[in-house]
Amino acid sequence: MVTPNDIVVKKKTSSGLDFYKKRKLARYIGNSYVYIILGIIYLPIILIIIYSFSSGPGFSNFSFSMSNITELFTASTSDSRRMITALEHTLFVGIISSLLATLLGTVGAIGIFGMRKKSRNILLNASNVPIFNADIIIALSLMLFFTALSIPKNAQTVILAHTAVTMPYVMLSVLPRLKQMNMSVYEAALDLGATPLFAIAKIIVPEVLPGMISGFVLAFTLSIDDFVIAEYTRSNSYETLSTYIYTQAAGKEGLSGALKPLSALIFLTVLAILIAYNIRKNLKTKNLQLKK
Amino acid sequence: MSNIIIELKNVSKTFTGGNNVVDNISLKIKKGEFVTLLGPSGCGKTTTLRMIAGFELPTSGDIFLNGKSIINTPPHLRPVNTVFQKYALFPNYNVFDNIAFGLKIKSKRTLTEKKAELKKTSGELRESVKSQIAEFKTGSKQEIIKKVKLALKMVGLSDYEKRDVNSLSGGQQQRVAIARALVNEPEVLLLDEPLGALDLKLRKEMQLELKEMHKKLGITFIYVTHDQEEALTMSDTIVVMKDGVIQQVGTPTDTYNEPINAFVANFIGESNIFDGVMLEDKSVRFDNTVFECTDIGFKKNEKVDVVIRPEDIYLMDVANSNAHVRGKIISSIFKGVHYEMSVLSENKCEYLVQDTTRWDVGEEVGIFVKPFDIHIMKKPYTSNIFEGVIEEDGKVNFGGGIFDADTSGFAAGENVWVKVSLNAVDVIDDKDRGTTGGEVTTILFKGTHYHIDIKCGNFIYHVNTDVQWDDYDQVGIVIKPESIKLFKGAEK
Repeated sequence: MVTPNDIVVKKKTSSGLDFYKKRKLARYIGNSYVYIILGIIYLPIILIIIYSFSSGPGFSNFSFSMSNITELFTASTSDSRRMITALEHTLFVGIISSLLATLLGTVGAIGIFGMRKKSRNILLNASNVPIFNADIIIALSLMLFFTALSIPKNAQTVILAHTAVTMPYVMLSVLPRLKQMNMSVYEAALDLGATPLFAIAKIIVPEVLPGMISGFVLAFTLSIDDFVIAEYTRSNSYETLSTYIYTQAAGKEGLSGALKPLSALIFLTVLAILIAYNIRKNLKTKNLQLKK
Repeated sequence: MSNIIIELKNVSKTFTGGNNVVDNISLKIKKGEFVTLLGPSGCGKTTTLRMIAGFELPTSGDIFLNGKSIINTPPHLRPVNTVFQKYALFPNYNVFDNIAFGLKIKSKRTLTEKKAELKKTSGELRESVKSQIAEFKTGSKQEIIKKVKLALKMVGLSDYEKRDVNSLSGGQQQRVAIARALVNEPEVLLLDEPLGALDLKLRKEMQLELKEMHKKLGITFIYVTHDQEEALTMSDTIVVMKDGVIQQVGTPTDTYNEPINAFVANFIGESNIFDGVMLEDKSVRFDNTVFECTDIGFKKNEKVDVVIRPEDIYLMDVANSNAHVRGKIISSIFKGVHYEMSVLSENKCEYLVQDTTRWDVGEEVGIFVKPFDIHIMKKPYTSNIFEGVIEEDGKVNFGGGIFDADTSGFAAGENVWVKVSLNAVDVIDDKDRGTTGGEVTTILFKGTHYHIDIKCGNFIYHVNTDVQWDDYDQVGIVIKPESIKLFKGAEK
């Protein structure tokens, strides 16, 4: 019979010691791998934040100056005025298109969910195509589509394009909530005299609201991120932040110095929202645990 | 006739895929009655209820409420309310708002009606309508609070108004669901297995409470359940369903004492069901023994089903000359009030007996049954009859498969009647190896063998077998060519 002592003796061999050394090394390499990746992701952003406090547009020869930051908030040159307008356009397009996408996507998700299995699958797959399709193809076909219908290219075309592209994402985030729902709740509302529309507004929407919110956030970030689709569906005078940066970088004048503090600001805003969201979530789960 | 509140006329429901869930049922429900739709799962009882509520549209037939067709009325305009199986409470509302939901909608509707009236009227009358509206606004709010409190009191949940519905136990949630439906004072209350999710003790309590509420309110209750004991306890009328067809409608006592066929007898309460032959009026033979009974009007030598309830069989000393048959106790279980024993007779037929006297396993006993306690039922079928078509020489297509058969005298493409006796169908446990295959739906133990129904698509095979299959078993069907009898005369 093997006693516990036998096992201990076996572990004390020299090869066993090597094993622990090797493991320590492996862990060391593993950790540094994570740090390298984090560094690659965050170093450029940190660089931007640091160079926001340097004069000029470039990243060479750090010389402390608040000129770029004051430029961002005063917008004294025409160049930075253009940049601020582009930012406004980006936010406008982002908010309107993601609101539209959330509305249409939610209605679409509820409609698809209520269908029979066969037609549901067909529609679901059809609406997922834009997710897998290359942006450039969508952008090009939308551009041709708008030209064919002679819709003047401006803010509205960018908004329409972004709504079409981001709507499937909203549907994908609303559908799981619907699947979780006990659908007889909807029938119960009808049974108690609610019209179908009232039942959807009062019973289904509150249940899928978290899905709608995350769908909205997703649509908004996608819209802000987008360059390709906006570039093909905008008019020459209607610039979003991404198209502005692209034309500026390619042009003679180069980038505005105020872009660095602006980028830093956008990053910090997102970071703040993310932290606030996580804190709220933690508090909520804590409250739930307390309740139970 | 005016006391009929709900009438179903030749109602059928076929879902896409051709599954006939409800098959041409007609039913009249009296005002103030407690009606239970009883049957095994998949018998169409819930679909019937959902058609009355308006969630499903019948494929054909008509449904009347107080003599008027409600087929085209959407669910939110039907004066019926439903208690759902899984409570279906609104999770984002508290108890009060859940119960007040229907009342608030109703008061809103009257308010818009009154406002429309205000638009039409002019002059001096306007003021009176205006004050009416103001009065209604304050009045209805008070009334809603009063009604909700009353409803909560009725289900024994006073002071629970502010509670979150998710924090309630299953029994409490179901009470809220009942209150939510009853507070609207519906003409008919539909209950879809409302107690299914509760534990046995709570279920029994709620059964009595529901019965009490029904008595107090005088509302018509239509109750769906698969629990025969629940149906017997609560109902004025039981509607037994199977495969979308109503088997029997009657009071609990009638359905228990006078079941119309073997399925009902087996489903409601426990029973011994035997294959018998009616020798003449008041004389039946089963288990190789002639018994005296009270039934008359059968044909001579007609095959019948014989039902004897286990509590109606008397065991006596094996030497007693009054005994009809003799047998041996093969199992004996103490059930609290009585012993439940199986007796195997000399002719290898098994009897289920409930008796307060204990007999030990292995003991020889005499079995005695009073003529009044032997219930004779017509057999709904004595063989399997299908419509078929001759595919080619030696092959006939019927019942969901192409079988080998003796087709001499028939031409290819000819329509025929196919007759297969109950004993000739062989059941195998591999669905794919059979000529056709399906699912075991009904199982009856007939003393010496099992009688099962196998559903193959839209065809049902009735089979006598010695093997004990289970519900939902997927089985294959094989029939020997010489057992397939073909008859001319089928039309296309």
